[in-house]
Amino acid sequence: MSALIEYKCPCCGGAIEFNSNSQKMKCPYCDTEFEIEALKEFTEASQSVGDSLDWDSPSSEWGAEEASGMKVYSCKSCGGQIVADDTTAASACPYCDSPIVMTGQLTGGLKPDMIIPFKIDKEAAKNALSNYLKGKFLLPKSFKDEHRIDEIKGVYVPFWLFDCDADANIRYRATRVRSWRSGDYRYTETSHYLIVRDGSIEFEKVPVDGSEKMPDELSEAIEPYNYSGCVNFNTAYLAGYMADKYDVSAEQSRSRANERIRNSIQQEFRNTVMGYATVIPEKTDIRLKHGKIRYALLPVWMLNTTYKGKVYRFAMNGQTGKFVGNLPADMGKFWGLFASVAAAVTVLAFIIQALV
Amino acid sequence: MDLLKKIAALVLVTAAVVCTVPSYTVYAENSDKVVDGAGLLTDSEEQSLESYILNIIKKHDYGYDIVVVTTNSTDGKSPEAYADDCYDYNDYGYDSSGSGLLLMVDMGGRNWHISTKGNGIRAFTDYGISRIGDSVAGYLSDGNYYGAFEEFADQADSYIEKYESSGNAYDVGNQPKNYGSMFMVSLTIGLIAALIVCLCMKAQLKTAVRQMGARVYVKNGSMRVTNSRDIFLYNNVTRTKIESSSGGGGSSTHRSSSGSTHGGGGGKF
Repeated sequence: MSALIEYKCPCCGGAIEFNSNSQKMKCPYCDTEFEIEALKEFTEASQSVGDSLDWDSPSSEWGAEEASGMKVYSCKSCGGQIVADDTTAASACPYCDSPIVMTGQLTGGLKPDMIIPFKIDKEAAKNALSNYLKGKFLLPKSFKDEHRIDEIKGVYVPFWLFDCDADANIRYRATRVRSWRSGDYRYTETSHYLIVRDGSIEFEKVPVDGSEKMPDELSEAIEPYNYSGCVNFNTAYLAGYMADKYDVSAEQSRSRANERIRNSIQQEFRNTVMGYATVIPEKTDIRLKHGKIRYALLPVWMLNTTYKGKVYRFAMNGQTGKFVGNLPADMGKFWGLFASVAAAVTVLAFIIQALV
Repeated sequence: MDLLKKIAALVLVTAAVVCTVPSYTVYAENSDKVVDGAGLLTDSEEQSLESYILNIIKKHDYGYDIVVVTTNSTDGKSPEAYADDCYDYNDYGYDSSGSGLLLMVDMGGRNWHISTKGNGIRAFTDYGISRIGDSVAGYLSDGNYYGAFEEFADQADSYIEKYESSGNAYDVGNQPKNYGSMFMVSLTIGLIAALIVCLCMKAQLKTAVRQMGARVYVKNGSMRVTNSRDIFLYNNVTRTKIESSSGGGGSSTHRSSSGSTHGGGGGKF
């Protein structure tokens, strides 16, 4: 009936024994003593369950009627497939600027579940670029004058939206430090704790870029979209704009979604641990339930501009107007600023020291 | 009767004249400021050092005597006793308390010692003496004896200047400014500040970045902590002995063989 249970020492991991002299549990390897209750709690709390990150797969397929108004274009250069409305005169690929050719009617493939229509027009996009260039000290002066906007394209970028309920079991090791002086000695007491946080949290519509051609840095930086603007998909919304077909499957996008969800869960639960000098996560188990994946088209304005032979790509959230992109730095200005700040602060620090 | 009156008048006049002669000549003073027993300096070096030191003494109105003594052995005496005696038994010091300081360098035991007397005790605290000694010892170790003594004279000059002008000597709480180290510290702060500013400005230019988490997508109010336990495991207590800090400054004194009070300190080189 009795099973041999081995208890592990929380301090060094060795097999701990009951010490009859002190009536406590004592580790023969590191000599640390524990109350029996504490050890029991520790052992229970250390049972772990493991991760489980599953998702239900998405949605519906294109119906024949809807598909009839859509044309598929294929880009010779980057090989992607762009879907556009009958009425759209699509001539160039929004990503690499090469000419695209209409290859035929849209057949098969998944139909988007939802779409956020464009709220911002082309003019606004152009103005947004000018605004973005303002107030950036290290931007070379000539950029504003010399850059040429190649083209501004409104594209519906395919996204996978992940919903889920997550259960988390997280263990931390924490310490509290207390210090006091007695006589000629300074005493420092370090108390070690095992912190348990179990709980649940729900995520809604975590977006992952389903287009290989759309750089993830741009697509993630223009987040968040306001999902209250989501409507059921209708091909009418595509008129005048291009829509990219997804080429990264939901399966492949999963790991990115999992990564972001995991990071957020860790962050949120970590915020509930307060009052310790150090906190180190020891084990994080996350289980996802009711996972749902949806396919959505979200509006993005893509701008490419050329400056000194280099192409700079910008993206603007077609609903909120958030503008992102990387700009070149004028290294001359950089070092000039560096030298002047260094000189000014050095002189100031010297004067302060001389006066004190 | 007339002759007696004449002699009395002569005596009175002589006495009056004698009394008006300035009093510092009453105390014998020793004008030999550099006593190079160990032969570390050439004759010309010795002469120029002497006049250098005399200038400093004159600059401070003969308030302090400054002497340099070198020897090959301290005749069995401790460096402190030897230095004290050099000063006492050779009539150094211009004022009534014999104020001044003496640097003794013993090549035999490789000791240096600075002995202070009178106002010198107050102008040169233990801290000051150890600082002067350290910089002089640096020159001595290098074999640059002239440099060592010149440094000694310069430092003595500046410490006396500080004490006379402000009434406070350089001490632990009132350290002389080391412009070299101040500059290095200022420069470091300047470089760090500049780096921070510039990197921030550069970061402004790069906004296309991946997002770490999904905080925005958390359904409001959906976070629930179902089990929250903080379990105490064990504790460690360590202790360290607290070093008693070296005193708050001042000058320690002792009595020399002649009975007078001296301050000072020494070291090896």
